[in-house]
Amino acid sequence: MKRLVQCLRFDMLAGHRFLLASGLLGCLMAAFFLTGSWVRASAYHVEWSSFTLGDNALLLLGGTLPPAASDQTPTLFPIGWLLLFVSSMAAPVLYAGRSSRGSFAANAIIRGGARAPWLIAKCLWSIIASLVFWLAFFTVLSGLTLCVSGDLSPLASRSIEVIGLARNDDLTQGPYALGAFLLIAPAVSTLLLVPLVLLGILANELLAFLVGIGCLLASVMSITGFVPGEYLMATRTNSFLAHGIAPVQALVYSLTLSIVSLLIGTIVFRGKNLMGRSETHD
Amino acid sequence: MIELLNVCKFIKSREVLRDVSLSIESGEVVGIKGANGSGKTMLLRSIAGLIYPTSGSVIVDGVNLRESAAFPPSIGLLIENPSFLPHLTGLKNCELLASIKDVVTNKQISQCLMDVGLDPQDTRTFNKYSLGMKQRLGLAAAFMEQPHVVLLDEPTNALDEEGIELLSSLVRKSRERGACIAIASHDALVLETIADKIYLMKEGALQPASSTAIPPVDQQCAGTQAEEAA
Ligand SMILES: Nc1ncnc2c1ncn2[C@@H]1O[C@H](COP(=O)(O)OP(=O)(O)O)[C@@H](O)[C@H]1O
Ligand SMILES: [Mg+2]
Repeated sequence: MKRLVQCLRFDMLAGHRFLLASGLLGCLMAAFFLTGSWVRASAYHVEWSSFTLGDNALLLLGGTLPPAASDQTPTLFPIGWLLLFVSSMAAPVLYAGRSSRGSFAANAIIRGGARAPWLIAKCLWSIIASLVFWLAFFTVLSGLTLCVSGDLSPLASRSIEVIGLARNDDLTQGPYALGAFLLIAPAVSTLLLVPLVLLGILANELLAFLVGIGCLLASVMSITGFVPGEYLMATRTNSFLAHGIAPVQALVYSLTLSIVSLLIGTIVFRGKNLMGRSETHD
Repeated sequence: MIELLNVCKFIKSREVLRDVSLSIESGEVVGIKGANGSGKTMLLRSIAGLIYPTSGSVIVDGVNLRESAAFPPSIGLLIENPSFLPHLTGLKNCELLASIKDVVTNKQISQCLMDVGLDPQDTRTFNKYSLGMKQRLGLAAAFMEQPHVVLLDEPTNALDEEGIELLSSLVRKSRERGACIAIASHDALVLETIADKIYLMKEGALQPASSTAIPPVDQQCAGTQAEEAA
């Protein structure tokens, strides 16, 4: 436990630039996507100032409707949604990968005294960096929404229906109102980061990114609880409920996934030879 | 005390360490010479607990590294091509590393930087360091916590003559306080001036070096000075 605290403190100090970058990226994304919501509002001739915080959040976190939607609604590829979640994992995956190679990393890990605390500290640091991202993101989103419309209600308004996004009563009125999603989406995305960070440390960062993007893409194409990215699509809650997956379950699933991957990762890391690429990396 | 018992290491079915047995007592400096790719770095990595032997065991200060999946409790390590955080100064980098164990004061770290000929007040960040300065900082990081086990891999890389002098005085001081020191270098001449015992690494196998007559320390220093004077 003491070793874990020591390792985590080291990561907080050594990775403060990445932590800062994570927060800045969150702010940038919020500003960028609010511009997107403004463009969308003008395209559909909706008063932008009528958008609540819930509307804006839904636009960003909602992804697309299931591709099976029978009516004329075009299925938009959720590029913004994809960008949001990829950018939330950027700083954690990059830091974890970079800080685990080179002689500086070797010097840090042997001072930690054991392998497991060092690895767990990296995962905890990543969770903190991801939370910093989401905190910055929602702070800027709420701040700007307050300036534009003054309505910080987490519930979606009727304006969003005009845009054709959330015809989903469970989401806006049911027991899992959008407010819960404002918490659950960041929580789930933070937990899903753990396997990616471990992949970045044990293999390499690029592979971690590719797997992360792969999961997100797969979840756009198909609806199944086995694709982790699916838990991040707010507008599909109905489909989830039909298959028996509610947001809280998504939370439990991703928590399980992160704990199981941490266990496997620790076992693999304890037996790993620490030398690969370390001499050539900066 | 460092003890290696019949250590073999295979990497992708290549044997990089062949049945290596070695023991280093407190206050002893062991030099390992050998050609490039002979396995010197692998040997040091296995003592540091960074790689595990395929068979055999490594016991450092009573800790069997494989069994406890741990690292030696008190160790200073210089691996070839030392790297640090590029945007921090040398002092900040060392303080950061030292913060993990928290056994030395910032004053002691500054002193150690001076011992390797670096200025603790230097505001240049690591990425602006010259190759030799980077090597010196790597040495400072290895020695700053007064570790009981000191492993130096090619410590003379990029060092000028003054740097080599500072290195041998650091090694001497560590030996006086009873540290176990292993130095790997392809440069047999330097090893002969600072090591008590020299082994030759050849294709993964360790054997005592042929030159057996190693002069005592005092004569060694006199020898180096005489060489410089010449
Ligand atoms: N990361 C690695 N993966 C596989 N083989 C390696 C790796 N690093 C070194 N080797 C091999 O291990 C052997 C010993 O290398 P090393 O200990 O670095 O030699 P040196 O005596 O020059 O320090 C060499 O044959 C080298 O090819
Ligand atoms: Mg080497």
